Amino acid sequence: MKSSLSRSADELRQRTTSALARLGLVPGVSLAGLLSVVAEVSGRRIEVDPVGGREWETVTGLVVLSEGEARVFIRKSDPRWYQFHSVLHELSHLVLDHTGCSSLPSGRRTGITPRPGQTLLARSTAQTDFEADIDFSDSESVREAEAEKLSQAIAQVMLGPKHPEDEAVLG
Amino acid sequence: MELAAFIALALLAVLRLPALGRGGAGTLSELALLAGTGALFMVGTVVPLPVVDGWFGGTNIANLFQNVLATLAIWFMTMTAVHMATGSWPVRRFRSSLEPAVVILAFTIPFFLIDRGPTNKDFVKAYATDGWLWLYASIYMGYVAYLMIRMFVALGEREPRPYVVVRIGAVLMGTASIIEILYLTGRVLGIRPEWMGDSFTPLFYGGILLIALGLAWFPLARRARHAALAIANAMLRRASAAHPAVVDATDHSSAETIAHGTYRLAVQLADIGNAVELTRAELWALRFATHLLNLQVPAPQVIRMSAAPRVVL
Repeated sequence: MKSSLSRSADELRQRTTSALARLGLVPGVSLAGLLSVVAEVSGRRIEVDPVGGREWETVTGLVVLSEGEARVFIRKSDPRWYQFHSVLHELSHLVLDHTGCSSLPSGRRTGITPRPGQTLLARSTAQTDFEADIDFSDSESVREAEAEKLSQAIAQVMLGPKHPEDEAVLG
Repeated sequence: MELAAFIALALLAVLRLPALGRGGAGTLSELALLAGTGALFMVGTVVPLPVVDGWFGGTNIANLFQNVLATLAIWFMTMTAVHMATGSWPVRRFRSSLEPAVVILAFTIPFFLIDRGPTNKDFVKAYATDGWLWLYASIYMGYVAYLMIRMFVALGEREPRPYVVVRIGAVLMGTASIIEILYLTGRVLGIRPEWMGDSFTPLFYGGILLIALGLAWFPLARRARHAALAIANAMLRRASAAHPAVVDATDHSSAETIAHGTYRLAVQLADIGNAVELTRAELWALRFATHLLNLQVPAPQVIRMSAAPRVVL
């Protein structure tokens, strides 16, 4: 199924807001908890692996999509919080039902080659400004902006205090 | 020990004074701290006991006030724990509120029947052979032990680790209360188990200290985290000024939003750093933020995981 993409900043905001609502996340949810929710929402088995070496110069994370499965790869060399964001970004593609390409655009190398029936989506190092500077005629740019916007919204829910109720009472 | 417990409670009470207007468990816990601080003041920790007791006629009435305030403090604390464990007040709210009033009345009556002399620092030990003192102190201590058991059970349902310290404190205070009842019973029966009497103060006040420490963890951790993230946020904003593409969130100053505001700035700066070489100041800002954000993200040390949708049969 080919998903539709936002055609304006307003549409992008609405689309990501409704996607976040669909996840029904509670503050303080763990990454493992988010993964289970996304697996349920997308209907796919998801695996996350830290990989990558020198060949991952221009890609910070990618997801390989196949029937009923998604494999998320993140750069092993990145700090944990940045890996966390790369995972959130790739999971956002799944939630937004984005379809990938059979190969990465030129200039992006990871050493990962999709097999027949697999597609790829990758978060590049030169991420566009997902709030203002989006070319809505460029589908890849819109896809990345949607995923980045949703991943930031998810992070906002997840990065609250670990024990919000107890801190609200005693803090 | 009493002075340390007083300082801990007083600091915590002042730090959390705004919680008084929050309602619910926030107000209850602050009332507990204020009453607890008052109770420790009555022991003579700040102003000498003869002076404090002199304000009320110099006949050991300070001891009664101390126990009344301690009863209220412990009851407020227990209600806070119950409120947090269940999300609401106990079902029988009126009866629950009446309970400490009845207990206070129950131990106040025998107190006034004790043949009390002038102010005595060791009032309870000095009058331990008096049956009315036994009744007065036993009702008070019995109620404290009961409340400590309720607090221990209620906090067992809460996940945060600092509650383990609070629960250990409750065990110490409950044990101290039971030992004190046994000691006073022994004294009435003509036995002098002094080791029991001597173990009361370290157990009871050690318990108060642990409870205060456990509860102080929440406001202290919240403030420390906010302060560190605010520094990282300011460093990142200054470092990002040279990059017009970096979009700063408008609301990143409150305790609730500072973590995400900092995270968002760091992601953008790290993305830029993946494409072009960052300056030394930018790298410092990013390194400092990395230390804090690694603690904030709810993810395992090594992010390698999998999940599958549930199979519907």
